[in-house]
Amino acid sequence: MAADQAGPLSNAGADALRTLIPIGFLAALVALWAAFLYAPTERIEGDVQRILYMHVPAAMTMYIAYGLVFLASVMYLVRRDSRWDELAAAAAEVGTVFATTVLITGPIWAKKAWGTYWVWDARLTTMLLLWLIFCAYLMLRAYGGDREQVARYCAVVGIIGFADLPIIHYSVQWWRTLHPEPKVMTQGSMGGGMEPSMLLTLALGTAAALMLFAVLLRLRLRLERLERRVEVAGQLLHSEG
Amino acid sequence: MSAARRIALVVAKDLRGELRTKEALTSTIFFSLLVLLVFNFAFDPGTRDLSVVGAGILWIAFLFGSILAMNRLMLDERQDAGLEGLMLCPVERTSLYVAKCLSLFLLLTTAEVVTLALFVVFFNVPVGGHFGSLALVVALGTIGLVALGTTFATMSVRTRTREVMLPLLLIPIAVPLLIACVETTGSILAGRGLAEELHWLRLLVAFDALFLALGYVTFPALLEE
Amino acid sequence: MQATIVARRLGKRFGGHVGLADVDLEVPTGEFLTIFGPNGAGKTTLIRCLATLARPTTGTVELLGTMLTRTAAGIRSRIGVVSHQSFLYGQLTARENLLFYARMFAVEQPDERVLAVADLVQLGDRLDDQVRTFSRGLVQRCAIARALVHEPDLLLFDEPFSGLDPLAAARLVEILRAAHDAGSTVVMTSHDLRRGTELADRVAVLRRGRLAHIQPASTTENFEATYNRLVTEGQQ
Repeated sequence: MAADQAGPLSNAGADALRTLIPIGFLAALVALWAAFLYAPTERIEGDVQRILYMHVPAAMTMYIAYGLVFLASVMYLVRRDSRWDELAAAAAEVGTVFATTVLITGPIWAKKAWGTYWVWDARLTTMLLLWLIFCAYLMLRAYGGDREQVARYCAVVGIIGFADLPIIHYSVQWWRTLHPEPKVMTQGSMGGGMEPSMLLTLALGTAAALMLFAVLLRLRLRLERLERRVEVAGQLLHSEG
Repeated sequence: MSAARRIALVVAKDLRGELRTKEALTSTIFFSLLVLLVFNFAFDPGTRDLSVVGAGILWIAFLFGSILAMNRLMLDERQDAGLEGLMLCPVERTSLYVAKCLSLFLLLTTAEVVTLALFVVFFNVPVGGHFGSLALVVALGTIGLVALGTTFATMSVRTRTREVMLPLLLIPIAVPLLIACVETTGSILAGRGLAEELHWLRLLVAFDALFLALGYVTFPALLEE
Repeated sequence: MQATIVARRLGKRFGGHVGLADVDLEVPTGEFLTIFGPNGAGKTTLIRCLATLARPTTGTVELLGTMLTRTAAGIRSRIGVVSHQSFLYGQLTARENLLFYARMFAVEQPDERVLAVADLVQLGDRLDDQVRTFSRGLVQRCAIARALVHEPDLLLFDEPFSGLDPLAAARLVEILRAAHDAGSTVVMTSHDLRRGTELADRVAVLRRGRLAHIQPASTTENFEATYNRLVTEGQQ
């Protein structure tokens, strides 16, 4: 079948997984060690700051996942090759898992660092909106009708949703500066003044997150492909009956 | 026959149908009125600065009214398969997007004018000399809602859970539009006009342009079967 | 041109469900083809693909010499479609509906043409009533008028007799016969074996998305037996 050709849509991923899973597992262990033991305790916030070593990489991975959805959506509308749709579906789901992680780890940290679970700061608000947009995307996947219609509709939403991202970011940022939070936000953990060891920990965490994403994406993609092949085979059998 | 002429025919047909029944128009206006009513009891206007809260109330009324209007218009299309009838005609699918946007825009601005009048009356908000600015902001905001709404309503009408699909898609994506509209409207109601709000206006124009373009380009893909 | 319709390996899949599979069909200009088939066989899907309402998943369709690609707007002026949906706007009157379509199709002298076509289907004094007040049969007749208002070269009629009383049905037979005599190509789907074979030059059977059988219409009795056999076979 055409899907066995090499390339970004290749199905010959079994070997890739076999090497990626142990490496990823190792990377995750290293990242965890770095986050909990290697990195120094942050001056102002204390140990709770360590959760950011999961939060920030998850956020970056989320953006990459949604960027992938955008690209796959464009490619699908242009080429109408269902493999792009499969990629978009898988990337959206896995990306939303990471987004949920971001939205859970964020408030946990915020409660300790800022005293409240949620603040409508530019970053968190943008992520919440993006998460909402992709929840709508996933709902459309579930309720959008037959496969082919869903593929087209979701491609359009994927494109529109992602295109909105910079606009959301700027508008929320400007809005935030107009209506600042009464509390004073602590510096140090996110912005300037990070020690090199912290940056290294962050980098390790990011690498681990990206590998985890790749593994999950591969697995989800394979599942999607198998489901569709079973569907198509069943229908062809029926029509030839 | 030019595309513009065909678009005009479709818009005229939509308006004729709507004026005949006035269903979408009246239900939108009444719904917006209800939103204003609820907000009057939800917030005590006396203890809040109305120019700040008022802008929010107004745009919430506009937003939810427009969602209702979109759902109604698209549902009518679906029943008689009216949009498919248009697809039988020698007109580009992209022109249909323009026509639908125009029809929806005209319907919404009519409802918004009435809603605005009710708002001014009920909340005693001075609009005064800045009416032109207000009209500009409302127009720009409505264009953005229409650009996205036409796309999403066309989709949602063909899916299960259709009533909830439209707001679920529209609202998160329209947040920047809402922020910009509320901020600029707030300035206008506070008497400051648009002098300091140029960046918001630019954002609105960029938003409208981007999503009109995307909506235009993707509409044929939505109408395929 | 030789053929009005040339469909090669036409296939239509709705995600998991197969609507049409591997349909090869050539309809010469001026031919009247009736397609029979049980419900779910793909008759409506085929009509919709030919009417440019649906895009085939595989294969090609050439209509009136033009390949149907994504930009096929112009060709629609020469196609008239009757389907399960009326494509009529309920809040508008019959006249307003017909005028709208006449103008969209750039018909010359639309007002006169609307009157002529309304007369053809005998809309009579209901011309200025809103379509949503019409009975099923009247809606169908108005839809037929709509399909004919721009004098198309190709008629695609999906089960046009459904909902029609005997008088209206006889009228439709006359209309179809007249169109055929005038040189139009007609592709009609129907459950009505008698009328379908009477009008047709060729008859075909669609079963489970595939063109199971096609033959000249002259030998009706044989065809009826063939049809019954194909349909019952398909159900096993």
